[in-house]
Amino acid sequence: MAQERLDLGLARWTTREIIVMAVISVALGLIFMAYGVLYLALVPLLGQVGIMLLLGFYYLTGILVPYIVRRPGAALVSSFLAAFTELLAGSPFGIAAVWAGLAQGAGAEVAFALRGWRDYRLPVLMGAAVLSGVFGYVYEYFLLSYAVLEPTVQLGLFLVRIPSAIVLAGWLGKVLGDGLARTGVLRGLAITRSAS
Amino acid sequence: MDADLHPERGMFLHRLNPVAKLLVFSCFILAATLYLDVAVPLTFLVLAWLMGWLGARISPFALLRRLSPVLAAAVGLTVFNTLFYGGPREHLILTLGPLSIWREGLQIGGSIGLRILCVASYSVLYMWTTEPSRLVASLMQQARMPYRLAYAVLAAYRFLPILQRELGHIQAAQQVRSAHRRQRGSWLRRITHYGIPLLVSGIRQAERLAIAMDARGFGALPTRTHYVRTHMRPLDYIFTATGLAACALVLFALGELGLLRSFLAGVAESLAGAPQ
Repeated sequence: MAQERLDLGLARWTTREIIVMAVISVALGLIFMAYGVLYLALVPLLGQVGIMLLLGFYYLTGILVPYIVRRPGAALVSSFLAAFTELLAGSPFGIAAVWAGLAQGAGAEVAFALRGWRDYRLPVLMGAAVLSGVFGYVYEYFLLSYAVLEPTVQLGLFLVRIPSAIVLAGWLGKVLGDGLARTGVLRGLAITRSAS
Repeated sequence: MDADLHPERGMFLHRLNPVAKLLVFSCFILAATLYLDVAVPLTFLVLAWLMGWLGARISPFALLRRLSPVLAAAVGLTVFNTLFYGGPREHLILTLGPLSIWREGLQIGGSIGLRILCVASYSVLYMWTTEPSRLVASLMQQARMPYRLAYAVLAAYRFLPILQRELGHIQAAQQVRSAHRRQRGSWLRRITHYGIPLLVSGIRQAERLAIAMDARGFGALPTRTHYVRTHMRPLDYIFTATGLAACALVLFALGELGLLRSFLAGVAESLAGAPQ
């Protein structure tokens, strides 16, 4: 019998919220694996800096799930789950992806925490996506030793991902969340309760 | 009821506690990431292949075949880091128009390429020798992951084949209604046309599942029993201790041979500027 010591604030979540978060995160984790194949294939075409234009999509989980369930911890936990799915499904980047997921999720979580986990309007979602990018950059800075690169290239690796995060995570998260809410399956979850 | 998902079958690596194995592998990856010399990731790469071969009968060639997509990424990163190397440099090897290749850049580029192979080798080795349900069970029982979250992950993971089939249905349904003709628009429309129905069906299943779980009192108590039990056996403690000691020993030995250049030194050099 395992004692539950780590709580992560999950005690206040309903079972439905937890399962909905898990299903969305796991589905996105699988999509990320397919996206990763495309991503790697496009690196020779766009270059290591140019490919950062596609990187923002990986921050989507940490935006979409908090936008739907609106609970403290949603960004961090869902980002971790999506990355964990990649590990479970046997992605060759599995262990590194889990660390990246935690870093990116922490970034988005900080943004939502700064607004007291109450404000989920589009600018906040975009800000959370940008912070995901900042935290992700710090992680990659160590994993891939960006320090040894020319300073302009280091700056490029950081700047190019920002518009990508805003569009592919912040804006797309809102579009997908609103689209899902319109279908009615999210009835009873926080996204349909507030008028934003 | 107690069941260990037959860990007595399978080889040494299969039998280890998943959390202990994850800890040791993560340390190996971290060690390979902290240094800029080719020798460090190369040593840990060889260690991964040896462990797979001796501990799980995974031939290095099978591992290498699984790593082929990563191989391209590793070569790409090596080229990138060599060309855009910004640290101190002394030995010019080659000049190609505006690009010049320095020996120091090539060394560090190679080190970063090998590092990616190292990360991938341990990740693949890990999942090839770890049952997903044992991993989640051991995250709950040894790493104190909240069980409501862990069960949700297991349940969602079970949904994957269903979602895959659902995606086929969605494609067929849209073809029947010739929705693809209207889809020529933006990539966004394509994402929402497939993504939203897929997520909707997943969320519907999730709702039914949540009701069924609530009806059986899931999450009512802070503690629960487990069907799959994982333990930290003496073997797991020995493996963890040996693994961490081996990691320290390797780094010490490479340091004695003068083959260590730490990442932090690289940061300091890049801050000090790059003398031409």
